[in-house]
Amino acid sequence: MENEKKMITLKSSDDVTFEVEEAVVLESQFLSHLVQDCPAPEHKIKEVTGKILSKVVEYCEKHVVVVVDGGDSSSSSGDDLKKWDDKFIKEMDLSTVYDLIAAANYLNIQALLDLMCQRVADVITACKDHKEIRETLGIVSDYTAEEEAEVLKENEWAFD
Amino acid sequence: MDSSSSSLIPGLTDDAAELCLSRAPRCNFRTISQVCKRWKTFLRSEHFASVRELTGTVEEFMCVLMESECGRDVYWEVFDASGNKLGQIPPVPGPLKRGFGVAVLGGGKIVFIGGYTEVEGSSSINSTIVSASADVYEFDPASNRWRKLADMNIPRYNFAFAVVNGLLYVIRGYSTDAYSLSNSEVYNPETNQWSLMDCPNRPVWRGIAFSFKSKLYAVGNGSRFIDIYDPKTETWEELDSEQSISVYSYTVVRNKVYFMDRNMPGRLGVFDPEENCWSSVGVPPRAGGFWFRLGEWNSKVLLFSRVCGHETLMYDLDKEDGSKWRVCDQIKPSASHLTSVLISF
Repeated sequence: MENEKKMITLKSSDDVTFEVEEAVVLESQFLSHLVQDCPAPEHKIKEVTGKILSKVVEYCEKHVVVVVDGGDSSSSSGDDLKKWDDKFIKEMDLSTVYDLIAAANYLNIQALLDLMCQRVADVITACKDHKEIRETLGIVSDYTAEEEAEVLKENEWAFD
Repeated sequence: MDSSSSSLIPGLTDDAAELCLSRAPRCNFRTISQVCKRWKTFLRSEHFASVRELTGTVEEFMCVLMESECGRDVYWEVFDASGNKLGQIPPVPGPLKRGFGVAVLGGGKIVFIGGYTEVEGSSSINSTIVSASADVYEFDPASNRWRKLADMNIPRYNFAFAVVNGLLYVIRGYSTDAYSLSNSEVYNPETNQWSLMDCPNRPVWRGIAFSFKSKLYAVGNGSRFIDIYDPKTETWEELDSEQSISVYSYTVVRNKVYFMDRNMPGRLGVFDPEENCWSSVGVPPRAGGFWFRLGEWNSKVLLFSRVCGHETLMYDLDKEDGSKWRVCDQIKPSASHLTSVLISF
């Protein structure tokens, strides 16, 4: 007995619509509750733009397919998914990453949130020094020169 | 709505920025602390520790206790999984000891157990009087401090020890005046209490102890019997290993015991408790001789040269026979290795 695939339409803040399978929506805790509580054919997501929602949908579709295909996590499908994730984030600029973090947080998609936060951490880690981090993330230092030198004397491993 | 001057990362809410920052590896902490005060303050906060726990960001660190020039200077050095040296752990409180045990409780705390100190003015070579210690200290990386735990019931040194299901066992050993002990003790970290327990009476010293399938295995040096304690039934049984060992260093990686035996110079001994099977492999000859102390790092066996400044060898279990050995360039302790443990933090 095969269930017919139920389709749901998501509409972004700027009125871009996406038609997706119900399984895709279930990747988001927020949307699963929304769909359960309110069985309308179309759902407006006021907090997320079309550009970002398309990325969210792309991510969720990929992850749904793999989970269904792989059954209980065969390692190759896990590796493929990781490769896909890597490519997915590599093509993205920081401001898109930030927007996706906000969207993943709002829509409650934990795996996407983790992926995007890790991306920011990796960007920070890849910087050669603190100055490059400031430049990359647009941070203005509030240290005096003495305070900054003081930090270097501290133990890297742990803090008292 | 310009809050960029006070937010952790401009463009992100502070909640989200905290999730990002908490995922950075500890080897970058110094650089990250230099970025701005807000970042440094966050990294130092208790809140940071809880966010890190929430995001499941746990790293494995190898903590190596080492000595320079025969105990002139004894200190800990910390290495991460990439081999970065992250600095030092404060020294263990109290006088310098020998014959101690170092174990890990709860995956993240180092415990320093017992040992002996030499009594002043007793130094003719064969009659050194030693004083055994019942002191036990615990190091918590989160506070970067040692604290004293409950004393053992009996001061002891050169005992065997292992953690089984979260409980720490010390087996046999010696007490003050070289009195050989034929009992064991078990420490429960939840109650901070040591309880004495019996164990088979054998004239053995130190040797190997480890956890396997929720049981405590102890093989004393000089004995051919493996004593196995089942905490569930609180009973000991013995297994004839048909081989007597004289182990001076060992480590357990993926349920197999790797050891250095005085009677097998230049070989790495392997014991598989599943099969009750003993074997050994030849260690490639190195400058610095064939006396090694063993440790574990990234699920590989490390062989630390006893002579300071020599290369560390690595035995990689995942590699094909013939390419299992190589020099481990990443791990360069600054003095000679006494013992090492892995902690998650």
